[in-house]
Amino acid sequence: MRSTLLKSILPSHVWKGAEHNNSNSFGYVPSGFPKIDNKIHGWPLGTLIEIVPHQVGIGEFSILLPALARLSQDLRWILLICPPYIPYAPFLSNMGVDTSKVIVAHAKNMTDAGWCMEQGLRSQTCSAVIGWFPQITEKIIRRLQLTLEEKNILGIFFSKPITRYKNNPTPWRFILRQENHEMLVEISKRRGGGPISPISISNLPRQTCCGCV
Amino acid sequence: MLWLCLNFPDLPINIFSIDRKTEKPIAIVESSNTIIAVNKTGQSLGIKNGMSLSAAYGLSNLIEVKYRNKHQEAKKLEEIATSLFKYSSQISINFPNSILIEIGASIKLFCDTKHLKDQIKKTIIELGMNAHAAVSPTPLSAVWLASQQIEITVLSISDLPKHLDSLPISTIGSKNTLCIQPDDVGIKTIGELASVSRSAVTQRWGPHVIDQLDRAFGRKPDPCPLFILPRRFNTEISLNLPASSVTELLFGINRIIHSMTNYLQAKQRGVIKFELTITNEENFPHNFNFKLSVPSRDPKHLTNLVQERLNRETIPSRIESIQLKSTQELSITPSNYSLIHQSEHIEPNRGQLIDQLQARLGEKSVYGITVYADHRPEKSWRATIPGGQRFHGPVNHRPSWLLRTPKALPSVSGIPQLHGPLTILNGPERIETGWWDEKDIKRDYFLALTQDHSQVWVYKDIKNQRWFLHGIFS
Repeated sequence: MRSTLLKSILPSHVWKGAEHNNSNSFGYVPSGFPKIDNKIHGWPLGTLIEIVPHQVGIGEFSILLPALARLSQDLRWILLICPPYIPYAPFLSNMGVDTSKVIVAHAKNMTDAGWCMEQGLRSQTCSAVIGWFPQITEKIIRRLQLTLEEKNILGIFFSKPITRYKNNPTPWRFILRQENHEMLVEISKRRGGGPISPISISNLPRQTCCGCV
Repeated sequence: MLWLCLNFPDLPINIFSIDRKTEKPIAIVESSNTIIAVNKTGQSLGIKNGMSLSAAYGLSNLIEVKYRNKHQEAKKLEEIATSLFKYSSQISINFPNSILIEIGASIKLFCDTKHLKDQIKKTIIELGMNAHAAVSPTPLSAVWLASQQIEITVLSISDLPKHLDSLPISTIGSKNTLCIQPDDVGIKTIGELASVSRSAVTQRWGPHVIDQLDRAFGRKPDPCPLFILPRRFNTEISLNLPASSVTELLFGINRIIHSMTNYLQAKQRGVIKFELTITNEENFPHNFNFKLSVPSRDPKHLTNLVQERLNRETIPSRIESIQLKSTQELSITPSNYSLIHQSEHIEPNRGQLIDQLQARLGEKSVYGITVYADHRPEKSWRATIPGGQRFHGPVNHRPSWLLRTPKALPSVSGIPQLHGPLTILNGPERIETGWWDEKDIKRDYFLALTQDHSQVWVYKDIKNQRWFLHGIFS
């Protein structure tokens, strides 16, 4: 009774949390980790995801690989922008990623890097665009989110834990930290639905050799 | 056969004023100082074709006089003809100010003659030109009708006398300089000339007058030399106002790229390598070479590439001319599209993204990666052209990130240090290879854990017993 009353009072453009609890409009790509998939269906497509690893070397890139392996079966590119080191082809190949779909792009500054990601998101020839942007600004995030919206693309950027925005516009934010030999995935922000307790992942694919996909 | 002739009365003036909206009267004169073309502003002042220059100065002293540039006119006609190849493969530009197109073979494709004629006129207007179009079964009669600005469609040879007879006699003699013109003896129209006996005409004015009449009326075959596209696109345009920035240059670049894509369209090809040369006032040329990963003839994409590249470079000031050359072309077969939406459609665009990124970030900053058959970790991957072949590497435990150059680690009593002592989790994996190219290595690789639980890939160089960080298990 009360909800119908509310519905009639509220104008149609008011965002109603409960209604958004259902699935993302463009679907999800399974993350390959049952614990994540059970809670949030997988990595959401068509919406910008921010991943904040608390340190390097805890498996922050590996966590994406089952999804990337699946996306690389598509004809489209996987665009990696400004990776901090060389994305090691034998590793990607072992994880089941088709390396012939991978493009690595290096930009000299954040403006070029943002432009690069925007082109990737816009071109409709990428299945995933992943950037490492420690210097990303709110303005660029907003722009990328607008470009990405409603597209069948996995759009992710990695930022630094110290980065503070006045008003973080990313719809999804994951914080990764290491705790007792396990990686804790904390979903600090998501579109639709309430808070989720951190997900701990112990069998990261980095510890297996291959065949995990 | 059915010929459509486009006559461009303003061609001499168009080649001078296409780049700008000018308010000044412009008159084009030939060597005899008679005006052969005037722009709109000039016409409104009362200046007419055929006037002498001094008479025109009498009407306005602001008049800007240009000498007729026949070479440029021919170039312009070629450019227009190139963009008309989508309507017919038989095009002739042998008549002054005119383009002849054989449309008889294309009518079925374009439904009917009127629709085809409208389409052609639309293309002409898009090119910023205006033309009179006449359709006739013989090439010469089409040229005559169009030059008299009679926009008419004659479909059969038997109808020709009806339309040609009333044309003034001056229509014929454009190519021949006759001592005594037929109108000196009272013959005013083609019809009157045709009624004079053939032997009398031949006797008085030579055989070619009758010859022309025979061709026009379809009594004699009239093969037209056809326009053949050059082997490579190579065009230069000069800017009326010198440009000093990319934005100012863009108008010219846009135009020249459009004419290149028209050329490529006509040849059913795409460009894969092209060269842009911009020359400044001091005649100092700057060359820019472009290389694409897939052949393209999309004007938007090519303009984007040029723009991104020029933005990256320092360009000289006061640029006066732009030259575009295609150095390598490949044929493009338009793909068949499936009725059902398939992701294969993106195939041709896949390369465009690479080209676009490379144009802005530099060719070396955008690459693909591949596994390479070598046991040395730093050599078992390679940067390649994106979208190369896929190879499978050996199934070993490898980190996700590799450092470009291994980082030397200090060691305290044999234990490597990286933000504190490292804990060895796994190892050693002995890699000892590469004797054949004198970059042989002898290393023991370990999977190690830092104090804050980051997993890293380190090795101990057996040759000098030093520790190095080589990868991160991210």
